[in-house]
Amino acid sequence: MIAAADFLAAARAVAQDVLETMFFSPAEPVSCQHAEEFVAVRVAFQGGEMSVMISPELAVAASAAFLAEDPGGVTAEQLEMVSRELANILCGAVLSRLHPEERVALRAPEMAAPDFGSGAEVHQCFATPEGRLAITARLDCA
Amino acid sequence: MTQVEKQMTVGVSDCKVTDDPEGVLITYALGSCIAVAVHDAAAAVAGLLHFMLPEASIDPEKAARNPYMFADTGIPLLLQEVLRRGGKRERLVVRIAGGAQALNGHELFQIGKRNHLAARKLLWKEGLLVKSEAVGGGVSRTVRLEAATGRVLVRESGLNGAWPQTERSMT
Amino acid sequence: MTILIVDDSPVMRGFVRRVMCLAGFDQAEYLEAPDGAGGLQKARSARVDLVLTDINMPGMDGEAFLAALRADEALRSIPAVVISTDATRDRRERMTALGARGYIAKPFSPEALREEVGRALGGLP
Repeated sequence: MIAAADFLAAARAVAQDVLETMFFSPAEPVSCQHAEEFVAVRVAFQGGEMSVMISPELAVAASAAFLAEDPGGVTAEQLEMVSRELANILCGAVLSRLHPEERVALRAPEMAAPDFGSGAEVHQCFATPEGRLAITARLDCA
Repeated sequence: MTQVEKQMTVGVSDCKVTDDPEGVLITYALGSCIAVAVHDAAAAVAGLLHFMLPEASIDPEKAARNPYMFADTGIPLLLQEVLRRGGKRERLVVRIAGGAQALNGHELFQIGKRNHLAARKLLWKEGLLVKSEAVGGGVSRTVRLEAATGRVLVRESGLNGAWPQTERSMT
Repeated sequence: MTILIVDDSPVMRGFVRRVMCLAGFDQAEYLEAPDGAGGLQKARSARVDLVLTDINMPGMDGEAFLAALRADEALRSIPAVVISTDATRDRRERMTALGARGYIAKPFSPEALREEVGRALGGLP
């Protein structure tokens, strides 16, 4: 069983690293500001599930950066694929950080409805110059 | 026999490219700014850009007057000029320096970090990998690029002028 | 030279391929597969010189794929570099025991992947 506080701390540390390293965008934890049109991806893992919500502007900017394309050249399909991979990397990196001695077991990321954390113990919003990202985790109870 | 050096200073929001084998490009006082040093050994072409801000959209009027102020307008122009002088993209060696961050900075996104990431993003888009970088920290940097050898010397000192000063060759 | 990239994410395969081209492998032929079974099929039908593989994939995962390569006399000497979100020690040890010459955890910079491939191959072009 994963403790919520540990997951949150790991997510805060990892989000910045992931966004800077492969998406070339600085990210800082901020207070929440949600909107329903965020692109959302869910990743199930042994012990729970994590949802990643990305504002449309950030989704385009991050996709363009990752793909080495102009923002205007990113297709809807590419945006979805990059968003899924971003969520996949975030989740895998968080789990590796939480349990560095054990293997990571993730399901394939899926597009989903946004989950902005109502009733969830783990929720954190981040800001980047291009837009916002939110992480929600729902962890299995013992 | 002494070697004559032709030193060319690259100012803030400035860019110079040389195909003179005696040319030396130098830029000073890189705080949060980034220097992008590009060299093609076979063509003996060297270029150095010193930019201040990540995106021209921050101030399009200024970008129109001086594209070297911004990463996303300056880097393509630097590469364009290097290629025009005989450089070949696949032979280019790229190094970056600068992007210092104030230790007690209050703004949400420190400009040094934004500049560093903007340089990396642009170079990735342009199809170039970075050979090495000297970035971050709370230091001021001076960068010197030798056209004949491609050697890049970086000198670092505390942002408040405190000693010690160090100088090293970027590998 | 023929390079095989195995990952269930098409955009990650594209990212890796771009890094490899920029690292000097621009003249290589590239094969891609979305899972271990597809990777094995490609490795058996072409002369592959380098494998870059993810681990967590639907169907045959990267660990089973690497094990299958090692079990095949014709394929066991192909150098393999693992590219995965799994940065745990257990997995690294397992993949190394299966013969992986390199291992890099996501997220990685393009330059870090170049260095890891160079290290695994004993040099870059």
